[in-house]
Amino acid sequence: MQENQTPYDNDPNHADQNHNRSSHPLNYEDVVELLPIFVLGALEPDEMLAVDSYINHHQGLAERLAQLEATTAQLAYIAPPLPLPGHVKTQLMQRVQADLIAQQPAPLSIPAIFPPRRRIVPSPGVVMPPAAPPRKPPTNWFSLVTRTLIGVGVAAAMLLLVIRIGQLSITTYRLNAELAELKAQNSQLHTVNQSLEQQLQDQNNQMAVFADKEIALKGTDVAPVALGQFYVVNHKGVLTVQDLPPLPKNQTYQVWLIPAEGPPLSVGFLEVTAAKMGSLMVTIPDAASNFANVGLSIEPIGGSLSPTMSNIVLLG
Amino acid sequence: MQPSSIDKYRTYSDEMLLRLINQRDLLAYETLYDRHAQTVHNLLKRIVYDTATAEELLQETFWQVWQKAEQYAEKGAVAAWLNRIARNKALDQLRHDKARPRMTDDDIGALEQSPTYSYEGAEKTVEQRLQQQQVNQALENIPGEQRLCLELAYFEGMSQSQIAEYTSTPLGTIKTRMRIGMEKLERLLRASGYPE
Repeated sequence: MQENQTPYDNDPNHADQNHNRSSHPLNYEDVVELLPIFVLGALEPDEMLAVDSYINHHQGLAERLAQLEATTAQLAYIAPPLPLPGHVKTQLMQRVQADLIAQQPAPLSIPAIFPPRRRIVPSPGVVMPPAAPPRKPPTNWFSLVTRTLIGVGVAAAMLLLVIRIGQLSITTYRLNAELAELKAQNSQLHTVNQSLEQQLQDQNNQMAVFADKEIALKGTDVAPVALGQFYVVNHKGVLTVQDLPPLPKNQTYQVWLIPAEGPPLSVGFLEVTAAKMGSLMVTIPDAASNFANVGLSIEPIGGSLSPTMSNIVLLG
Repeated sequence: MQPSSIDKYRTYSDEMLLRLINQRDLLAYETLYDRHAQTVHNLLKRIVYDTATAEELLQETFWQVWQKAEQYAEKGAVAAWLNRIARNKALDQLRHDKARPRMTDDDIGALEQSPTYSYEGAEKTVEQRLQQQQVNQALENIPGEQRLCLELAYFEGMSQSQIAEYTSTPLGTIKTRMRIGMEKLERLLRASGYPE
């Protein structure tokens, strides 16, 4: 089809003609022809309304409309790619978590212990026996006092039961709320952790480019999932670790350079964040300039003169 | 949450994730975001140009998903639904601002001449990359003047009469270009497996 040759183009009033088409009722062929422009949202407002109304009354067009909408959606993929800002996700997840917590259900209402007594209504055709005449109240005072005491006891027990159920309902609600909050926090921490791990990986990659020497450290039985990297540039070293738990206040991670011969030399103390990651830049002493290994051990606060062998967590 | 849980969610379809989001499942929500945020962000930035506005609209788009996941009608792909939400928000923002710089004549000329944009260097999933290649290939086979009409309508939010005025082209021609361009794009995409 020669798309530049349309019946409208030879008419100087083509725009009006096109636009006025919606002023009279649309037929099926009109709408089918307009649908590709409709899904792009490019018809004039009155035409958009007219086509929309027509579609709503002709469900047979729904499938064609869905096909064109799917095609239109593909155009999104030709937008030039850009870096995705990480803070948007962080903010969004916080917003969603806050909403989740706010949506926690109100405390459960205390269920009635006994259902309301139902009035017995005879079915049609069923003859109910005549009501019994009212009985004369008993005059046995001992029995009356006993029954009163029993009644008071039962009422007190029921009251205690109701109070206990109420307490349990409140506790359940509170625990549910705490659980939801913990789940939300957990999810958030997971997100943060992923981001930090990615940052650490990026840093490691950058460091590896400039390093003269790179040593991978692996976790020992004390910390089997822990990992570390030690980069050497001139007389400086950078240690990065991950998946290493923070220590109690009375302990510290001590970094050791282990020469091929001679005792290990302490070069510093490493702090680990709540995200189980940490980094430390150290100066490599001349005595350890040709060190063969790097180690990390758990020591009492202030450090030790030599590593506690049973407390070595990373070695490489 | 264990990494294995996230991995499990990554195997779920978009429709399954939306059902889980309806049940207020945060991991499902995060997975859907990770899967589609890049494309939605690209689209928003292409429409509004402004970085801060695009980021705000990205958040608003996915916030709407969280609040109104049940509105997904399951008549088409979730990605199409998401893109539609994002595009509507961006075009609303454009109409509200009316201050965004429009493309110049040079831009239009370049758009007509250039086959497609370049996507080198972007980090995308394999599936997204394939999808972009398919759309790009399809667009390369559409005449520039038809592609221009589609892009002005889709990304700039122009009506057919605005496009006619903007390009100094008769309205009837624009209508025909849009219709034929869309039908051609649809045929080419379908031939290559998209849209589903």
